[in-house]
Amino acid sequence: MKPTKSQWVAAGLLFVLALGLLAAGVWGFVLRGQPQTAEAMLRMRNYAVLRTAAGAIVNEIYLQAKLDARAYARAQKFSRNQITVYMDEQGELARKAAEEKYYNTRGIDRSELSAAVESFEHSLSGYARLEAAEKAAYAEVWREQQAALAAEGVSEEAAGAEGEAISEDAMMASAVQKVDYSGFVPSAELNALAESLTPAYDAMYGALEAALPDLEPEMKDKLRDPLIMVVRGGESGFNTEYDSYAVTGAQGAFEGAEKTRMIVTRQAANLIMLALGALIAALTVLYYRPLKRSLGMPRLVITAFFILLCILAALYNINVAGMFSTVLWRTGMYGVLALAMLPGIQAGISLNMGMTVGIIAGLISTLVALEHNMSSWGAFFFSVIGGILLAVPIGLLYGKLLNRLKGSEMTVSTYVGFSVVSLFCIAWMLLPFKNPKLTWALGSGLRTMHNMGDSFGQLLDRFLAFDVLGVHVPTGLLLFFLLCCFIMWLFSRSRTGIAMTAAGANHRFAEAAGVNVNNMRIIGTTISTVIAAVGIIVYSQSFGFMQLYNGPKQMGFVAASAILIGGATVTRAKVSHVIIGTFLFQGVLALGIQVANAAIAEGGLSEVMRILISNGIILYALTQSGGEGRG
Amino acid sequence: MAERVVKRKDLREAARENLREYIVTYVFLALSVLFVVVSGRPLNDIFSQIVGRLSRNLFIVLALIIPIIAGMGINFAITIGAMAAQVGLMLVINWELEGITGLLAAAGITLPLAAFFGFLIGSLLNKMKGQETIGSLILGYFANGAYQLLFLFIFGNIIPLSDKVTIVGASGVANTLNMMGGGLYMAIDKIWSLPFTTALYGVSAVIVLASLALYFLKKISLKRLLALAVPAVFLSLVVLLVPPVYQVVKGTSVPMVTFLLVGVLCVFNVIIMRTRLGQKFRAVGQSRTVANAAGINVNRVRVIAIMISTVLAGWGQIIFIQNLGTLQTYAAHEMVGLYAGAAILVGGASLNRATNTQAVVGTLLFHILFTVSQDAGKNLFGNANIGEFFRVFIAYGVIAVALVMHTWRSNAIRKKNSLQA
Repeated sequence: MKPTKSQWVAAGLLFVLALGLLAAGVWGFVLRGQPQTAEAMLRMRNYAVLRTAAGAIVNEIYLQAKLDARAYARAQKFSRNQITVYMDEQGELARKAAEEKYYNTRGIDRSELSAAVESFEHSLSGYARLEAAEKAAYAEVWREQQAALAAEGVSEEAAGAEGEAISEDAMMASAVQKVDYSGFVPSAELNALAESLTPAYDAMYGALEAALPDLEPEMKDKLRDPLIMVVRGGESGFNTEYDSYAVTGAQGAFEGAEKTRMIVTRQAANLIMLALGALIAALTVLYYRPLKRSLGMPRLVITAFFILLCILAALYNINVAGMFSTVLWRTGMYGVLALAMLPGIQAGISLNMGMTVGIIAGLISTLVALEHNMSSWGAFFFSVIGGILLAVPIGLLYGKLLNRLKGSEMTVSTYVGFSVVSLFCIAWMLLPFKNPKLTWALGSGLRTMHNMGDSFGQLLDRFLAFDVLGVHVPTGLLLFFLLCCFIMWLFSRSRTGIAMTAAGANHRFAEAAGVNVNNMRIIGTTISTVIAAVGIIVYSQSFGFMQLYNGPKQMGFVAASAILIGGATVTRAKVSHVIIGTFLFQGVLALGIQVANAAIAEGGLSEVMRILISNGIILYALTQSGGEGRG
Repeated sequence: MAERVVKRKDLREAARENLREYIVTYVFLALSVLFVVVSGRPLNDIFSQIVGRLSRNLFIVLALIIPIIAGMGINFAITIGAMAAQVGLMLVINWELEGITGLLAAAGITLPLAAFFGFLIGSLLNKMKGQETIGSLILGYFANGAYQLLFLFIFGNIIPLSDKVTIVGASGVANTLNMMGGGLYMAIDKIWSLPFTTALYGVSAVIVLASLALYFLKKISLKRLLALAVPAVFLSLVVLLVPPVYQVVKGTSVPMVTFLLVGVLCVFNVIIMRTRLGQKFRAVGQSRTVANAAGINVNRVRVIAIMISTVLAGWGQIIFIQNLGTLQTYAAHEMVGLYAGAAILVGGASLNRATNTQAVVGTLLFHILFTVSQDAGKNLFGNANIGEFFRVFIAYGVIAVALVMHTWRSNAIRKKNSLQA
């Protein structure tokens, strides 16, 4: 299938655009190394320092003008409204005049100032490094506190039947949140270093006073922190340096061609990212039809969306390593749950939305482990084995039920799943768990959220975990997921596995070949239930909290969306669909949250995205399977 | 003698058949009685609550009947009709339209919106025949995402709205829209309401007179006349002559116009089945293949069934919300499909058969349980939350049981057919 003419044209245009962007980006990177850029940056820094100081003067004049205006207006007996208006008016006039006077720093001799700034920066470097380290440590502690507070807030709330349990998106928001540094206390060492800055600062301030004669000595202390912020910009990377100067309005130092050149230099990385995006878009347009055929429409759309989000994330300066860590973490967290869909599809019961019965089994065995204050690997293995033992009989019974419901398994299993979850909402209130860590302080029943921190929270995640290039790899978690996938793959190669897949793919043919289709379906359902039980344990330990009540209700949907995005249909699925699908789905969600937070400060958009993607893909799968025939 | 034995045997057979058919209804009846007793709440309080709940819920439940007859199962996508209605109500509040005019405007906005959505839903469900129940459920979830996108990020930002429906500093439409101010609250209910006793006597009199008139005009048989007139007279007499019953019902007032609308919808459901379109619904519901062979455009008929259902559900949601007085912008539609579907199944409807009576009885039983379950939970287990969880469980459980029984039965029939063939 050859691309059409219009495809060629569109792809060609995109390709030219990509080349142009790429050239600009490369030029920007080349410029970074040039001496003229270094010189321009020095100029920009001096300008920024001057601008900061001038800004303080302007502000002072503005406030003074407002005060004067108020006094005048009061004397003239203006009304209250008139006073406000008059003050603002006079303040703005004074600010304009002052900006014109002080921001025009062209005539000032800067050689002396430049040297003073240089020496100040030199003495600042040690201080800046230590302060950054201390603040990072503080931020870590602060985030943990926030997460704990959020969890506590949830568990203190009464469990409402209709209120959904907290989503991990809400929990993760605390990781994206701006850290509140008001509680930050510098160490003694840092204070000493700050003291030692004083002579260099005094020298720089002297030079500033020479440059701006109107600068008053009282402002010296006030300006200290803003000036430190400006000068230390040089500590880390070109972009941060440029940005820290730019916030003071220091781009004004450049004009004409130099301005364009500096912008290209600053945006070099982003330009290359955009070029990459345009290139991918060009290729997609060109190879649209073969891609659509081999990936299928939904996977093509999701993959394109994923790439778009990656590019957006880069443009919004989102920490790539941190982002990638989150995606890996979420893939491991949800992977085993998504795997639970696989044997169901293979055995011919389509999407096993009733995997929540297995989830309940996993939750019960975990609760028993927590009740007896078990911890670490003992608790983990106890929960997993207990969950499996519980899930096997449940799965057998459930499989028998589904055998009598051929043709409507998905409909029935969805509602059986919902019923079981809501039945267990009652059970969680009544089951005789006694450990005060698990039950409400007042009244009876289990809490909604259970912190796994002191039992086996993050146990797998931390096992052999390492950082590479800033990416945190939860080795144990991923290994466990891959191990489960490997076992399933081995199973699908075994005699039983082959028979099961055959029964699912075409039950008449399988029957003719002597396969007991009903037994195969029971085996598939049981394995699915067992994996779901293990999956929820892995999920809970990785998330760090176990959710009861309505927590498991939507899990079936999440798992179904993942495997479908991976390319499975409701009658055919492979292990690779699970891995690819979970990665893509969780990747889109994790990136989506961060990009949405960076683009518009509103919460909720990522949740909307999850609803649309998850249900959209299931609907698509249903339309593919539907038509006449089934039912 | 032998004849009598046969007759008794027939009767027993019929009773068994009836029990099998309506087992869910009877279990529910028993549960309701038990819960009412356990809850310990005064009966007159329960009764007036039930009348209120019936007035605001019946319309939506009745909207489910046509798709069921057309063989599309429970149309859980009526939530989308409810969303259309909420768009209408939000705009009406935004434009500060008042009272009954406002509600009529909302209904007017709902009509094209819901019909359009119904068309889309129907077209999509045509691509998943046999999986309509789950398809419409997930479609409802999907639409909820689109609805949130619309109300959180498009309304109030791209489409400007007044401060009547937005909150300064927050994005999108406010969480709760109050309808008390604009006189929208109970605008339909308030038009004409009567004490329950007066309403009952009046309605009974109308029924008796009308059926007598029809009988003498030879439009209905004697059996039908008795079936209509006797219960009406009996109920009136019970209320009139048995003081405890009178005590229970006397404090309740009945929103006549709301129930009139419900009655009109019941009549509509009956009449449409007598038209050509209604015959097509039935034919498609019984067998798509046969209907297709008879020259019926199956897909088109199914789309029409869903469109009607969606529009009716939208209007039902307007009735529901005007009775409540506040619009929970992001939650009011979520449970609509679940509760309505459970209610009609409680009444003994199945996935391919439903009548007005089943809808009314089911709504009555379901809401009796709903009203008292919290108190019953508190008295039985010392925890009101359990009652709350129980009613959600019962809603899902009823649907699950109905689905299981339906599939069971139709699989058995199919097996029998294939054995015969």
